[in-house]
Amino acid sequence: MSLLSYAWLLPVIPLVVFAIVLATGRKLPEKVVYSLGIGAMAVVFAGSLVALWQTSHGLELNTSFKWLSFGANTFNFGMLVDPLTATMLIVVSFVSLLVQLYSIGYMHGDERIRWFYGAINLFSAAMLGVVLANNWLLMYMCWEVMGLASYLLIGFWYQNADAPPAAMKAFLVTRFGDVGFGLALALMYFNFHTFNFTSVFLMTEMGAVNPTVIAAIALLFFAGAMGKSAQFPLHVWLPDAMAGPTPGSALIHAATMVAAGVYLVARSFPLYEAVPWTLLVVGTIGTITAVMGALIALAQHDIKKVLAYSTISQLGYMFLALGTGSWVAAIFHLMTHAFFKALLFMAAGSVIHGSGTQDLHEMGGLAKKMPWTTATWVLGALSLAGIPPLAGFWSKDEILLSALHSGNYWFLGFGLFTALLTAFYMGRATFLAFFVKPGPDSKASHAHESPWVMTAPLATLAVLAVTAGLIGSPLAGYAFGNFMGEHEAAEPSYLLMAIAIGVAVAGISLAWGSYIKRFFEPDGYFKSWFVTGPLSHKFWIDEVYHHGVVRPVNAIAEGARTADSAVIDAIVRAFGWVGLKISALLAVFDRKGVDGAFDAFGDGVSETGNTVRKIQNGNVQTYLLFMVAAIVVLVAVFAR
Amino acid sequence: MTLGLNHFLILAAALFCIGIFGVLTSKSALRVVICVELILNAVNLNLAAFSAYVAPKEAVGASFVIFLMVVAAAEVGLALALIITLNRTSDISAIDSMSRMKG
Repeated sequence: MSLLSYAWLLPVIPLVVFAIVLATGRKLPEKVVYSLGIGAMAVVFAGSLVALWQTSHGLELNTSFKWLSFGANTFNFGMLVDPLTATMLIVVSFVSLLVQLYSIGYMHGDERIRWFYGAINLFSAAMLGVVLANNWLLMYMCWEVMGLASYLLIGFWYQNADAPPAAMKAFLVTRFGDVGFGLALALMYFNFHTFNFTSVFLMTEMGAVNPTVIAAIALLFFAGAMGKSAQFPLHVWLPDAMAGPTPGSALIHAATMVAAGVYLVARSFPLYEAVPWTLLVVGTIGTITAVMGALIALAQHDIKKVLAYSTISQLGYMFLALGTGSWVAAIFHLMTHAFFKALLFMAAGSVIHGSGTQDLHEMGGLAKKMPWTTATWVLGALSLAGIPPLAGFWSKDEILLSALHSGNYWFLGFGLFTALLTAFYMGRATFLAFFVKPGPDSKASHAHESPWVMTAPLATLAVLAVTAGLIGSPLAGYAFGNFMGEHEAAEPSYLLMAIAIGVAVAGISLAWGSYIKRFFEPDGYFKSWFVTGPLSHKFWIDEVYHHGVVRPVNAIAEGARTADSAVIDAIVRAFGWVGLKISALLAVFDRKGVDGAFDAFGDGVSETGNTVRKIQNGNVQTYLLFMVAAIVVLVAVFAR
Repeated sequence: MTLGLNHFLILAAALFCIGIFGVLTSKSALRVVICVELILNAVNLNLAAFSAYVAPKEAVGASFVIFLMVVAAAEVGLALALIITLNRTSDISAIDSMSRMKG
């Protein structure tokens, strides 16, 4: 029996940790709680390595068991472990492990650190469930639990004014996309009568189902993915989600959960391939998101917001890759992005931890105070910017190559443009935070390096941010693509590589010229764009939602409330009034009629008694008189 | 004019009525007892008269009269005892002011 059949343990282990945390509350010492979490995740990581090793030897697992049945309908649960799942398992468990290690330092002294670990473990369990599921139903259930964990972690510091609304926004916006996911499931069950990946793909391939239906299902899945993966126009929750603790952001809102949408589309890819124009929709949305996110990131001065918009942009990049038809490139970028973006988030957390500020303008010169953080951040930033031979370069190159080969030159052009913007904003953030001379309101003077529990995960991730890309590079013979089952590797284009490198270098140089040498100042030249214009206002999308969705909904709710109190309440009150009046009448009848009759009867008896008792005056002669009178009467009557 | 049954009956009725009148109107308990005796004797007269005129051979009525006289004597004894006790225990001599049995 294959070791893979124990794969169900992977999500169960962190779930058990969550249950323990939930059950014990504050009873367990903090050390026990985080040791449990880290130990559990280490076991899961080891298990994921086993899964990877097994799948790389061609073993796969695809089992189902009956979950419930009613009538003729049966719903199965089950697990699928294939190279894609194994890769996702590694990414999730590894980042979760490092985040939990890092949180020992970052969350040190927080009153609710146990709950933090509980929520992280709940999230990990759900995400592992998502990637292990062999059917969309189980995936959807875990998907929703993941949303719940995200909500819990965004609202973790509920004392802060911005956290609860951010948590609610994230939940509602992602739910909006998930409605699409749910509808897709309904549509799928009516047309395929199963949720199982393999069966559905088989039926799709045989053409057993109308392509229009498949397209609808694919696009509705994509709606769910858009919500979870923060794609335009459902991206608005992700920047706000930065109100949560930074390690949580690193795990959920950078590395794993937001990538679940990409995973969903990649996993459902045969559906999209069956109706190719759906891929164009996916790619277009991805491209819009990639460019928009990168543009907004240019003007953010909160270090976490820069990373948040960068994440949105990079997720858009992955959807762009899916749109070009290469889900392998998307997953490859997902993996490298998970490593370097988790690294960047955790380095940003270290910066926030050490300097006490999130504002880039209040930093500056941190390089001297925080050497480890700086070194790891720079590696992550270079990787994201796409400098070879770091991981981001290879995965981005795969995507651009796929765009080139698919002939979608719009995607290619915007992809390169995004790469330029990415290099620029990462350069900007790097220079402003670490290398410029500290400004007057800088808080760098009392900054300090973070403890080793924080820097060690950074260093580990930095190694991966540098090397993880190599496995998918031509240097390693496209090992990643082969592992995923893509046997004919695309012809590498060295010209494209050169252009990509040139773009990345240009972006960084531009940032260097702007913020270190100050040859030109974007904030000055492009003030109408950067400071007061569309970039700093995030293209007014939040405002559009506020006026287009939130206010109308509130107005409708207000109207409904008014109608409720004016009409429904009035009717209820009228009923009450009529009831009161009727009962008042009944009361009168009761008192005057029924009570009166009884009273009259009683009074009558009493009166009669009073009258009659006067005869009994105690005088024997009177009695005798009556007796005689009675005899006389009787005689008079009967003696005739 | 020969003396007939009716004369006796009228006399007895008169005696009876006088007795009743006395019982109902007398204030003195003693006079009540005397009047009761009158009533009893009216009855005795009736019994004797019927006995003599209706069935003269058998003295049934007469014997009833004898019994009644004994009963009357006993009754008078009892009544006198009651009257004396009443006089001793309460200063009431007038029977019509006695209403202790009032309901």
